[in-house]
Amino acid sequence: MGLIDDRFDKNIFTTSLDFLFNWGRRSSLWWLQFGLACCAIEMISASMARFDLSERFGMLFRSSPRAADLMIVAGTVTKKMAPIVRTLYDQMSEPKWVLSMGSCANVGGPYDTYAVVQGVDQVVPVDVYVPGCPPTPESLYYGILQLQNKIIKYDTMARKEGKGRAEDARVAERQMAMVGIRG
Amino acid sequence: MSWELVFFAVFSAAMLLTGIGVVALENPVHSAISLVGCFINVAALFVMLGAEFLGVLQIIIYTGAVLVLVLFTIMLVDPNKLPAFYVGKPMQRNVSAIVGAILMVELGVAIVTRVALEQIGPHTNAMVDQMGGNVQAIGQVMLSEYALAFEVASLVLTVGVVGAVVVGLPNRLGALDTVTMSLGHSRGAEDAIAAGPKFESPMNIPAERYVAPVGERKVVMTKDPDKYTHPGETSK
Amino acid sequence: MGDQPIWITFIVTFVIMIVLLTSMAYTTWYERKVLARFQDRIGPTRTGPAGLLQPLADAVKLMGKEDLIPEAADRKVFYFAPMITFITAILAAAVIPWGGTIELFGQSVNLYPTDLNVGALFILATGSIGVYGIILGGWSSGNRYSLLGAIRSAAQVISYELILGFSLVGIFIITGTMSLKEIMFRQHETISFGPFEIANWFVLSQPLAFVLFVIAAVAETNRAPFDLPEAESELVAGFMTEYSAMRFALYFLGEYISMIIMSLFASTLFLGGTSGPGADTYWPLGIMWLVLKAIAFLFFYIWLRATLPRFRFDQLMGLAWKVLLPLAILNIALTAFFRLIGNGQVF
Repeated sequence: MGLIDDRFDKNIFTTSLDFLFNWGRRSSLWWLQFGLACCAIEMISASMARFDLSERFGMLFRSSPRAADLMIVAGTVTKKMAPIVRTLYDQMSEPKWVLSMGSCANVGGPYDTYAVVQGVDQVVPVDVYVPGCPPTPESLYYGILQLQNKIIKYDTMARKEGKGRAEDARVAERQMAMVGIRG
Repeated sequence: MSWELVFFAVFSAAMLLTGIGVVALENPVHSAISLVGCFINVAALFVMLGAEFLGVLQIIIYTGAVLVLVLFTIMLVDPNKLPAFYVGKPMQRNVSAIVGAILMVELGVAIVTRVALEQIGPHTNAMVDQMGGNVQAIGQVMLSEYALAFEVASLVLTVGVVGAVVVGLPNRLGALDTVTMSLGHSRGAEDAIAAGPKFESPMNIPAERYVAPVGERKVVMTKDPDKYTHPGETSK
Repeated sequence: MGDQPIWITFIVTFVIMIVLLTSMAYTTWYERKVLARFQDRIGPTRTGPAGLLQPLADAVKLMGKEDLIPEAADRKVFYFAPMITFITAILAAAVIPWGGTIELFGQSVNLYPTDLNVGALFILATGSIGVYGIILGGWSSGNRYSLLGAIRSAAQVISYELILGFSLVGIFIITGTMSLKEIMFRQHETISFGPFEIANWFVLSQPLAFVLFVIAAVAETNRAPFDLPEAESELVAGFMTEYSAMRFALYFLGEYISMIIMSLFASTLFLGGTSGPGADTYWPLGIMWLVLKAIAFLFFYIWLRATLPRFRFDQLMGLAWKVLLPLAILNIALTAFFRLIGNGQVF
């Protein structure tokens, strides 16, 4: 949607369309079938019969990164694995999100050694961190719900609120004020 | 009638274009795709002539089976490594052009004379309907009038199948290759340097040097370069 | 019977298309729900009531994703390969009959888009063109896994299409026609079996052919346990590894449409199509019976996926050529033999 990004003011059409796309993206986060260490076991158990994380939230395992939306970095990222993680992230098609699961992926965990990357956010941009060693399936749930809450608030078509918007508003206000002074 | 003419024009034009594409396109896979298009248009022409059965068979057999096998073969070839066609072989090109022209003239003469003399073949639409439809008509003609040709064709196909099996069998009749996997030795490279361009890889041993019994496949694993021998020699 | 203004045909085709595209989306929901139940899970629940909006969410998401074309890809072929699979899958619906000719608002309406006299072969023909989508998609991706998936698919589809075709010959011998409509109406007749009157469904007279047909149909649609072209444990995602966004969705949905078409095809050929209690009097009942049979078939597909592990490739080819093909030929010979006895041409 590169052509229509950030082009229109907020109105009923742009916000509704944004909501539709955000809702679709939130409800069908297909995740990359990809586990690095012991956290992956917990991730697998979260998607199995007792918890059914994947299907209940409309998520699916996809083995091809091209069709995946969410990358769950589950486990210790060694320096040897880091380029591969980055390659997989680059192979995923936009829009894509990263969830860092467990202390090792967050900050390196107990392995403050020459071989371990101290946090996967040194390699790929992370959206949600889930603490724990390893996190229980419930914490993974919570992380994914947080990610869903984040996605539903995106403004894709509608002009974004923020620094640029504030700058525009200030310029307009100043111009109005100038008109008032001169008039 | 006019609609039929329009459809005929569209299908024949598409058929000719894709047919030209088969020979004109550079990439062999694109040529094969073009041939698929050509066959589908031929099938469409068959259907327009009232021969639905032939049209569907054209798609199932030629498009669905034969061309899939052709693609199967082409896909495994790197198009950049193919030898260029006709380079330095004007003979080939000229002969094929002449043969093609002769065949085309023959076909044209046959069609024109048939139309001019109004000699229509025995299998007109009315005749086919009387026989109970396309399928019945083809079945009766194939298994009565042309039964011999039909059987000979099946014999040729059987020979082809047997030939394919013989060619495709693993090398059971001659020498059985011995696969040598050596872990970290340098002897192979030394041999190659010493022997120069005449070096024979240990993977392809001549038959007279070592003939393994049928069914045996020997795997030699050596760690120490001194223990490495050519298969067939006795180890030191 | 048969001739009707062309605009009625367009309306019937349009309705069938709409129903097919909707049911295709909801087949994915059905599969996820049923598969979840098989694995003691509950399936999608959060998207709409009972997850009913899940296909919509998937479609919206896939529409909004980046359409990625790899550097090594053959761009033109990469573009149109998924469409071949999708279009040919839908095209096969043109010959499926949903009933005979009915009177609706004073017009006589045919409940089938067309009654081709080689209808059964037409479905096989569309299937054989559809495989080009898979082969070319795998080749054009410029990826080794895709190419391997495409090659597996080519070998598998050629082998199993043969069996699919051969398993139908018995029915052609019995009925003497290849038109699906006539085959279906032959099954509306009843045969007396001692004191009982039972429906003349061809699954009763051709049980072996039915089994062969089901096995070949599962293989033809690349479904588990014959889903080697997309075996994720070896080939990432097979021929569609490099596809993202809507092009991926076209493959995905093409597979589900083929499943639906195969279910309808099997119901029409072997299970009597629209035949059932009350179907001869009320045409909506006939359509309901056909749909119910197709849903049962889809359930069988999913059941297989939930139960059976994937075949190894040599097992797959061995099964086709060494077991199923001789059985299919045996079935043809037996049927022809009994047909000759019935005609009084032998003995």
